[in-house]
Amino acid sequence: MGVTGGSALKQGLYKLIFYIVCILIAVVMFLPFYWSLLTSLKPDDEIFAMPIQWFPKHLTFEHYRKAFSTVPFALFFWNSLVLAVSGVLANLFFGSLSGYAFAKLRFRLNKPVFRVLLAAMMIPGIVTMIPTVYVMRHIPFAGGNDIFGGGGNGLMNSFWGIILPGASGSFAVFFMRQFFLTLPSDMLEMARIEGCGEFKIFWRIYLPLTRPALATLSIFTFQAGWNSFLWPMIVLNDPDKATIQMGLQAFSYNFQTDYGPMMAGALVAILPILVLFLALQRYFVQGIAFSGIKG
Amino acid sequence: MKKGLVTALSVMMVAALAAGCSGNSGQENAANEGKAGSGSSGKKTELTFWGDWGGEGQKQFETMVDAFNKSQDKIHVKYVLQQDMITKFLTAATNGGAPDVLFWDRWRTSLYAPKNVLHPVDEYLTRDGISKDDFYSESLTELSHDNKLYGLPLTVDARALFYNKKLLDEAGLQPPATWDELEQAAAKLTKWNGDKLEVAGFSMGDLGLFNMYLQQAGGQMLTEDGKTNFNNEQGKQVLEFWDRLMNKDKVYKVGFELGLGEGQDAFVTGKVAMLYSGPWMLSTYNKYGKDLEYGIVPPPAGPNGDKGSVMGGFGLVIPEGSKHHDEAWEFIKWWTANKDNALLWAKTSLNLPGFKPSMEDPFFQDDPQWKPFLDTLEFAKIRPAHPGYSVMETDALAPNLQLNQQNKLSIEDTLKKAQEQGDKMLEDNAVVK
Amino acid sequence: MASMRKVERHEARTAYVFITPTVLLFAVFTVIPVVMALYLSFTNYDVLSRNDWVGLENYRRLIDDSLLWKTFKNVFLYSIIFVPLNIIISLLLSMLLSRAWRGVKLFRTFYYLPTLTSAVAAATVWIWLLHPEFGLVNGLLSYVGITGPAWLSETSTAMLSIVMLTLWQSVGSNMIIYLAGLQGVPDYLYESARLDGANKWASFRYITWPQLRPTTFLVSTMAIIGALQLFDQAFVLTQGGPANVTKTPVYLIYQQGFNQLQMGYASAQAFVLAVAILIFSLINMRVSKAEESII
Repeated sequence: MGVTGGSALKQGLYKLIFYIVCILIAVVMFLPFYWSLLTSLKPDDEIFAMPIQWFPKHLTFEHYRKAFSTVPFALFFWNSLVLAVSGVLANLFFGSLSGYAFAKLRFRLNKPVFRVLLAAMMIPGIVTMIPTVYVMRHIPFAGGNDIFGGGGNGLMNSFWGIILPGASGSFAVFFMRQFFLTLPSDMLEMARIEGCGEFKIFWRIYLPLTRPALATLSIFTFQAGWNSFLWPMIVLNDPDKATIQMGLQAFSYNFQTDYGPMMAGALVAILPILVLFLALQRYFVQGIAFSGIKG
Repeated sequence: MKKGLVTALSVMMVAALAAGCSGNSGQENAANEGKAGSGSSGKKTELTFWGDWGGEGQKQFETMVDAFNKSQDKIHVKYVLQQDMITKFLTAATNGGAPDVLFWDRWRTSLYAPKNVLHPVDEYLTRDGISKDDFYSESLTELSHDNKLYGLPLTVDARALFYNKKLLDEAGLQPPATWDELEQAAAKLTKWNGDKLEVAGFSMGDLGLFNMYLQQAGGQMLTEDGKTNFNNEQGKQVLEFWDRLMNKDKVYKVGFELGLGEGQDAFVTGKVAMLYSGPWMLSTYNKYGKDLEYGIVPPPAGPNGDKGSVMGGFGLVIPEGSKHHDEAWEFIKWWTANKDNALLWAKTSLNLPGFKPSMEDPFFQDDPQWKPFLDTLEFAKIRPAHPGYSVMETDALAPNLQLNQQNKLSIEDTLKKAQEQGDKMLEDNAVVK
Repeated sequence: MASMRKVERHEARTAYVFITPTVLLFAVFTVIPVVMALYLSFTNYDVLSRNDWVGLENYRRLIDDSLLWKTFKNVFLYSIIFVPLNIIISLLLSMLLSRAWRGVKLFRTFYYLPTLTSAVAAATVWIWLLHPEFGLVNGLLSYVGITGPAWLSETSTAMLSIVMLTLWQSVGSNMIIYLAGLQGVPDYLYESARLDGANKWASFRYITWPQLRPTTFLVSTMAIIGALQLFDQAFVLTQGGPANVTKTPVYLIYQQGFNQLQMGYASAQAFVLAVAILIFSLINMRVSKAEESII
């Protein structure tokens, strides 16, 4: 991957082109984000100014104040955090466990089960939504239900109703399976000969090698959980359990949107994902250790 | 059988979860139902009121709810914001989670009422001696199905012509009252710079307004037996009028407002001199348009002097699934059929109330921003109460109108295609109980 | 022979234990709702009051639903442009940023930002960028003497604009999937290739690309599913217009099920869409020969 040979001049030129290209792309990628940042900081009468003022004269934190006073952000943040973190932990564990099984272990139902998992993703979620609500409501013993799933509310209006259906998403399984596939299988045989237990092989040998994948999956599942809106809204009735995305909808009513506070809220809401992304970045460059194993 | 399977699977599942991942930060909130049921506060009946207005809108609702709660001591209402209310209502209505009062976009009535999910209010109306004459009859029709009334109107609205005073003054124009005057004014107000449009004389961005133009031409969208009724002379007049504005006078350019609608409103920034808009935009224009001076007049009349506008608005309804129909009615009556309360609502939310006596207040009668709307409401008609009407409009009529506007389909073919596709959609979506 | 059997049985048993949590959750929260939705597609289910068996009536109605086939045509067209571009751009970006040069982490963060930017903000800025008179894109075009089109409002360019926006929004996340995939390519392969005198293109062609095949299968399958289920992004930009060229099947399914209360018919539409996605994915599998190398 590195630059091979060439004089220092050639190397320098190469770097220059690299940075110019990267910066150009970065500008395109950054522009809308910058615009929402500006909108959140501009006074109301300048939001609508035309042409767009990329360097505003007045900045105000009024929208942030308004966003925080309209919506109980701290509570919603906590609710969303609980949901998103549970989603990440469950998906990392279950997803890699079964992804490993599908990628590395031989069993008769391997392909059929995996294909069914894949196929299920192809059915648009909006038509299974109402049946899923029915299932949630009739989970036995949950939320005051009897053994036949009647009498109570099941998993509705509880966080479990959001965590459980997504606890081992097909995407997580698919994702992890594809990464385990890229790892060589001979380590497995060797470990077995040395008498290593199956779970230990998975946990101690293979899982650590997929760190970049786990980091990526963490970001995705965290983001998915953090940004999900429709399902939490349907499951939860209690305003105290509302999530951040439900809170962000609070700035629209009667065909109107209060742009400033909405952008302020939306920006604050992406901070956790951004922090996670920055924190997990180091795993993307971490070299893989197994080149030595095969040697 | 299904239940057995669910049982077996979930028992195993819970076991597996407990064994596999006990570290999850658990949030057991099962038995904590925050809904309905006679609450903790003595004998008061607790009502849940659902709406989809957040932010300022939520505060406006809560102002009314608080006032109601203070006005008596038998009923306590709680407003719950449902961001995607219809989806939530659909999942809740059959699963025993329906609210007691629902904020209701009235045009949905023709679709929902036949399904018996709304509670009729005719008996209450008779019992409490509320006169139907106090409401716009069109708005009551929109809340009715099969001669039964399913709620009361909370707001009424209709589109009228907004114009930029400064631009009209500069051009020495009076606000138009007929199609001809509208065309002339629009042509005069339009400014081109080469092939760049700088000021559009009149907004042609919303082709969904076909309905009101058709009324102005003396037509109607649907026939009595529920078929489209625009592939005729009136429909042709509308499209010819549009054709003149677009292609002869060139008062507009396709896509001109698109980027300006959300972020930089074209009317606020003076890029559009005249447009049809509704009272819901007043607060936005007043808020953002510091330098904008604008006036409002009722929609100009068509070639034969016909007037037309489309009435819309919200109502309050009682879901059949509520356990407190009587109390819910008390709340609705207090809010929508009481002069003072409806006026309080109107002033709080800057909406036209559904209750006519409240509009006699000087707040509306003496205000040049409200008066044109009151005049418009006198002749405004609701959308046809056909359950397939809105899909017909958005998926059959509008697309063909767009092709026509881009000169990709002739007037005759546009009307013919819209009729064919529209009739099919109306038929497919006509509810057979 | 006997001991070989034993190993296999042991391996299969382990695999079943590993996939049990995933399969159980999947059965309860996906299989049951999907079966219910499939049943509903043979009824006149309206969510609220009726649920009567109508046999193949819904599927028969599909045949004459010209708008539905129009939306299918729209998303096929969209996918054919979007999916390959998505893969190519993400892969290029990931290779660009898989080196450990100064500033690379910052660029990665910037390229990932679009997936975090709120849909409304993204749409607002893109609509502005593409505005026929005041937009940046047409502004640049006018420098070279071209009068740009009204991108979002003209039937010929609307879908292209949506391709641009969705690419902009999705290449960031696929880039980090590829980044994670690239970490899994063992360095010794490149080293030995270099010793054999392979140039850069050859080492990409014979090492990187084949090694990334499982990753590409993941990215392309998810892109196909996402593309054919396109809804939100298209809707915020154009509301399906002009002249229905950007309406998508999921929009129709939502409209039919939730606005027109014809959930039975909507379910039938959804299953036809799922079959279409399945066919596309199978073609993709063939083209990329993904399964072959995987198993």
